[in-house]
Amino acid sequence: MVTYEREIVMTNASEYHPGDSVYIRDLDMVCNIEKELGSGTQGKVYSLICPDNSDLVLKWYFTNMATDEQFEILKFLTTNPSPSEKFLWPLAIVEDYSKSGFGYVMSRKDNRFKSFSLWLSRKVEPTFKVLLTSCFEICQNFHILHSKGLCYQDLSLNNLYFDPANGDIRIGDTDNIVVNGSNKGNVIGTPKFMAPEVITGNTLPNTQTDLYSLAVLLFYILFLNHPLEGKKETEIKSLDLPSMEHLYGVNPIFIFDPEDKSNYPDPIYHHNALIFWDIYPKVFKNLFIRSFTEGIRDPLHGRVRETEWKIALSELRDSIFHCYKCGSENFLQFRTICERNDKVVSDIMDNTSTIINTRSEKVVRAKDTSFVVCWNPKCRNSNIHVMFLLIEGRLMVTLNHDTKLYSHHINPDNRYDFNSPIAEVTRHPKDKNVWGLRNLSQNTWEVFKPDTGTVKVYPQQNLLLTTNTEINFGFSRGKICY
Amino acid sequence: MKLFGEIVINFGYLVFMTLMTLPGGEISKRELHFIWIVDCSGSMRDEGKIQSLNYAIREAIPHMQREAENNIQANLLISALKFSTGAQWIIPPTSVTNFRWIDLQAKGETDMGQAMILLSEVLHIPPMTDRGLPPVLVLLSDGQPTDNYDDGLNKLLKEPWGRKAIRVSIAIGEDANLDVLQKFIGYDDRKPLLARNPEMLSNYIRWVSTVVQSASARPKSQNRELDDQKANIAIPKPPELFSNTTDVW
Repeated sequence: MVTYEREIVMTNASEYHPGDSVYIRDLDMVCNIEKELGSGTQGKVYSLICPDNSDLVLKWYFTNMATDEQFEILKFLTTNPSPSEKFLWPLAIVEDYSKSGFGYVMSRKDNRFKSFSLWLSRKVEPTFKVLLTSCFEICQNFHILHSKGLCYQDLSLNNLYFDPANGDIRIGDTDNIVVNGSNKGNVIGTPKFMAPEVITGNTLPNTQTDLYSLAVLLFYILFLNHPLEGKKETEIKSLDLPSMEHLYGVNPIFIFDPEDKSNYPDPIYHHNALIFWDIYPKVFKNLFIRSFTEGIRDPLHGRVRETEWKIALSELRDSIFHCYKCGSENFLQFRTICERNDKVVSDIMDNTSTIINTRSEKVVRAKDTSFVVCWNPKCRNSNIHVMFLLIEGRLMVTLNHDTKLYSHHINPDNRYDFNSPIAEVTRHPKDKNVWGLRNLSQNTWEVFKPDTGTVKVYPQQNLLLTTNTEINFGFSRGKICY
Repeated sequence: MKLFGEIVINFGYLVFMTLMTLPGGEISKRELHFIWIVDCSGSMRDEGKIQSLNYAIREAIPHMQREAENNIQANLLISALKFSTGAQWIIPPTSVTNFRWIDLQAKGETDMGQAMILLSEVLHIPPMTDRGLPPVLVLLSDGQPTDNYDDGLNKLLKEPWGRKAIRVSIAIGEDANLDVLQKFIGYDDRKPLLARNPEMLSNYIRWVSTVVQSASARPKSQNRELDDQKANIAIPKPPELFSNTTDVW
């Protein structure tokens, strides 16, 4: 283990200029400053030109931020591995005799990663699938971090980046991560993301307050609105610190609190919240209701855990289908009928588990008022036919042109890994109207069709997508429904 | 072939794929007024001060625009007001993306009080919005007010928006009256920024236009010790600015 002795350097400069050289002792490398990338409240960030062409950046603290405590935090972080490749983790502490204070180097994020503020300003247009993938990855990675006994302390949209093409994420500003409960660090959070009990000064950031911040940022990403900004926010003329303290700390009321409508969204300023609230399934929205009612009243026990978010987000992602009339992404959240087989799949999302009613009964669609209508106001198509895969009566995955199955789908014990699919929807190379499911796993699938009997699908082979086909994936069985 | 027919329907949306975006629109933002209040008195001509100032503000604009792009809650509007003999608006509130600086010339007296009166006239509703963020007022001066500054300032501070504003002042050179600039800020523990040379001026202008802007608009990570409990916005401490250049204009 490398140990650091902090040297006291008294100089009259705390900034770098392009071309300056920087010696990184722990990487045994001399780099040059390329340019300044940005300046924040804690310091400045510079891109580096490295002899081995690695993409590194240097964060150099302002003198008043270069505290002994910050140094201790960095020492801890640089001697521990990054929880995952998504974190822009401090790799080595940097000290420089010609400069005051200290800094650290970390990997530079690729240009494909964009700030979520671009989505909130609608300067990029990702899909629901991309957003849900990002949200899932955020929960997954904070789960890993928290499981290691660490706490982020300053979770906000300012520190997260996503790839609008596929939902991959990067987590920045990792230099405030500390062991939970150690009460170290320079920051207590970003006002709109801080848990009410932190704003009111009742506690310092910890993993429970991280969970609150996590719920706020998921809500921001999925509803394009702050969860506490409703009528009460519009009544504030100048949103300054005292009014923010009241809105987000002293008297926080969820805009969709089922028992208190006093902070309901204003149709002019909070139309996004109203639009998106109508689109997501009830069971998913219930998690937000819990986060911002019980989760505020009871910070220790009332908050939604990352594992709950992960399951819900993954199921929601699996339920996306495209309206065949307008192409909009909708969520399969209703009673669906496998009419051709006289089987009823009921309350799929409402119970988060699926029950197959094998009795031959037909459900009359018209009776179910929650029956799906495409959300697109110009479409409102209600004639929804969706092909989906039902796995062990446990999971439902809609089959779209870009659907992939992963190992967690066929084996609930497997961890979520969106990098290695085990199956994907494909198109027939000659007949573009024929769709199949390609076996990307190492296992041979046993497939049963009512009319043709059993066939085997070897790795890399494709199976024609037709209803009532049953696939034995090895760990579990799935059935194609329509 | 019947089965194939069904499948065709199922994937028929592919034609529309490129057209569809998610519903809703941009997150609703609040107006944030950022106002430059610039001393254009005759003494600003000495040692190229006004040229340095023009140059520094031009340098700061792209950084300001980049900062604003990451802003999820503010619609940043920048305006500018000059004072010399009398005071005058020179740039009306302009969206940050369209903001262009107009080079100022220095000539005349230091009617800072007039500038305060002009400010007080706009810092109420209307013309200000009833859905805003605390405005940022940046006063830059190198000298002594030649008119009744106190009356002007009092008038400004009578306006709720004037009181709630984040008021920052930058003294250009040693001759500036720091007491006057301190009065403008109001709080005792925040001091006017003293720019002893063009490099410091440039750094301070950059700092107010990015860090202070975002303190009002996109509150950043808050430090454990709040700088000032009375403050209506927590402003990060200015960076210590060290310089090797001599303190000469």
